[in-house]
Amino acid sequence: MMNKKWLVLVIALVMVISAACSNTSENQAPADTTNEATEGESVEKTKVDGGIFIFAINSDPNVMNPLYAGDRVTMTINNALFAPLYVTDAEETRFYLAESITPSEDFLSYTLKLKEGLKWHDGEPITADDIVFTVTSILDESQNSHLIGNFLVDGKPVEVNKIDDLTVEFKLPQISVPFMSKLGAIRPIPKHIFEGEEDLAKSDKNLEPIGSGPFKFKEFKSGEKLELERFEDYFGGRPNLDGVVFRVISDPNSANTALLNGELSARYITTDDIDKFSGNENFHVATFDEGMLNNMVFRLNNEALQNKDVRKAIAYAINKDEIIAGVYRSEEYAKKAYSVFVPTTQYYTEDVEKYEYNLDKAKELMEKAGYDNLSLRLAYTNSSKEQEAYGLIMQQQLSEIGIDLELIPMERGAFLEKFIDASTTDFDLAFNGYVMGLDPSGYSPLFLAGNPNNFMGYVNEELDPMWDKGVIETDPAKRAEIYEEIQRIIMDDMVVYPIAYPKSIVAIDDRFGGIEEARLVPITMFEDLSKLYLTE
Amino acid sequence: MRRLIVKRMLQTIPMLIAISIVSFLLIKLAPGDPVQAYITPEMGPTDIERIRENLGLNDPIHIQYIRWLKNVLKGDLGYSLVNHRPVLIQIKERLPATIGLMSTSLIFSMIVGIIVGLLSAANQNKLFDRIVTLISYLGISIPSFWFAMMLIFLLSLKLKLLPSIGMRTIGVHSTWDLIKHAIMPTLVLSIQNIAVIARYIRSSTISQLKEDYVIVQLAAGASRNEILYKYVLKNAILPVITILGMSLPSLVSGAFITESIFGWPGMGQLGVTAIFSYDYPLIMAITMFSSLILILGNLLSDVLYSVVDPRIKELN
Repeated sequence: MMNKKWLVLVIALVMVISAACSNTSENQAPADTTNEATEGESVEKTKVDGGIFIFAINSDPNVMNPLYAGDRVTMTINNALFAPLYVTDAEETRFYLAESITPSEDFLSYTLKLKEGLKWHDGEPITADDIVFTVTSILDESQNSHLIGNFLVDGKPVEVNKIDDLTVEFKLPQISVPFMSKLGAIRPIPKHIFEGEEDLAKSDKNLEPIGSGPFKFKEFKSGEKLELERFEDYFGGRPNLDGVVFRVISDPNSANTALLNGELSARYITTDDIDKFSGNENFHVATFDEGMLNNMVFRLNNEALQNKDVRKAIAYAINKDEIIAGVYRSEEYAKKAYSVFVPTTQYYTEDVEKYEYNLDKAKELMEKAGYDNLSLRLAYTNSSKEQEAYGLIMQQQLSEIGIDLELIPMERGAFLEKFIDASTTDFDLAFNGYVMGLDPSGYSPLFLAGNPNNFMGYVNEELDPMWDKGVIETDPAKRAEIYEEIQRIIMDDMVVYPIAYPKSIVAIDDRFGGIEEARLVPITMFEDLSKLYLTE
Repeated sequence: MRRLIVKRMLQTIPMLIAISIVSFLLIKLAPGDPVQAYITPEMGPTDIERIRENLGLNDPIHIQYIRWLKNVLKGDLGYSLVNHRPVLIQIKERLPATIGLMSTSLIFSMIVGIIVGLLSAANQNKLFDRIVTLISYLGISIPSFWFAMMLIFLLSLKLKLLPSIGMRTIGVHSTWDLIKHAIMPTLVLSIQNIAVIARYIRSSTISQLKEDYVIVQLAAGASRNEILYKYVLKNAILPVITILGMSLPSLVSGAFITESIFGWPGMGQLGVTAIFSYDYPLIMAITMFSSLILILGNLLSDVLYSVVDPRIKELN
């Protein structure tokens, strides 16, 4: 699921989970698979059978059906209920329901083999029919599935055929390298449950979901909790815990208190809360890369900002070190960002113009552009402490090159409404954040001319065709070249100023073990919940 | 009496319609768009348009309102835009928790408020009275979220007496557990009403104590306590019925804050979530339900008032 490309459309600081930081080393291993910084003494503890792990969620799940999960809460829950086919990250592919996935030589068809003896939570076997049913439902426009884009290549649907009970073949209308990782992220739904349902999203069957994950549905009380219990026949081995529970707590302060009070087992915390938990022996604090880039968007309908030299001058005048220190304490909790890709995206490179702080160069560029003073308006979401701090620091820094920055904090809804429309002129600069996943082709909507997700109004005719080339290039070395070049071009044009890669910080009840095996990952917190266990 | 009730019931209809129009307009004029929840980068403008069309968001606002009203009159409150579940079912799920919390709080604050107010008046200007006056000032002016956080800090974190959140402990199904979870939310929701009621009772008892009938009774040798509980209380308690109606708005709005802080699975919590996700069918339904509770509460207090004080009935 983590490599799933959809954008957690997070625009804007949505993620108050201002996550944390990061190692300064060159080791850019997929941070979503490693637990980079942990605190707290680990004493020898014995693993016991049973126990319940309690998560906090800030609202009820939307629809407990992976075809419709688009928000963090529902995706976290679906991760416990429904297993994916396989998970691909920059390092490796880990197989869950699937035994293997094999592309044909021409990369126009893929053969998916399922593991033998798989079972749904109700004991029925999981077969190729379920896979075909799932994909057909996703492709059915009347079902409004969020995932339809995963099975469209250049607007044309992928063909799906059952070969035998455990084998499914996918035929692509044209080569699409990202297809393989997109397919893996799919979490199948049972055909015998949903067959004949007119509207899958509104189906009552979603209220008592039958899935394939390590935990099965037990009880749901709206506004209160969702209880799941161990699925004995889980293909990955009997889960250690008796169950997992998701408790609805919408107030972040209350959630912190509940965690401190032992009424929760884990929670995302902010940099402000770190001291509270890392100094407490009952908690284990871990950080991991959320795969998010916090950035500043240039609106190219502002006349001055249409001048590349002005944009570059701004980039040189911003001192990232000061921002990291001021907002995140240190690079331990947020790494300086140099590219528009995140380090966990394939073919990420730092071999781009880094715009290291250089006031002389910035002044020179302003002069060259013919501006000795300039007034700009910077908009952001008023509830984000993180963005407010960025704004105040940048206001100070940009005054050095004669730019008078007016800060415009806006209510989140009002901000988004203006922000997603690149033609609005209410502001010239804006803060945004995005999570685009593993495959670099996922970034294309942000930069393609005329795309509704291109919030800058950026047009580069030389760049646009390169995205298409990247999708059909099957040679990894050549693909890398294309995407590295793309990053260089965008950074040279300076239409998005990358600020920081914030990290997620999680505080976990220290009685729980198996965190490394369960893998801390973006969005769902853990990849495989069956590996968590209780200690004594 | 019946005429009064029927008349008041009829008056609520235009009131509810006016409330619904204003809230509908407010929701639609507020920035933000429910479609934002549906958009992914792979979607083109046509897909987004299709979703808007499917949700009926492209029609002019008065058409949308009339369609909503028609459905409501047929008993169909629609589906949530976010979780696609029927709004009515969601409200029904949440209503018991809210009504339970609100009525417990109402009864609790009446009992405590009346007793404290009466004792305070009986001991006018003595130490007890002064302390009550001070505390009731605090009770009126204390922000409920702050009071809630302080209670959690003290009773949950420090003293470990009560659970900080939710309605039940996971895996426990006892009434005692439910009561433990309800103590803090009830206190937070009641504190203001207790203060208001105590102050009303105190001042109306004090003024009753100066009435001629009290002096006559005293002269006739009746004990002070006898007078207080037998005669004065009955007269002094009248204004409480009015306060009851007046305190409902603060209970309903208080429930939004209290439920959010304590993770109490009621309508207030549902409403806060709905507002943040622009889920307008749900917001509308909750607004209408809250208004209905308020209007009915006021109606009830008017009726009660005319029961205890027949002069009101004659006026009508």
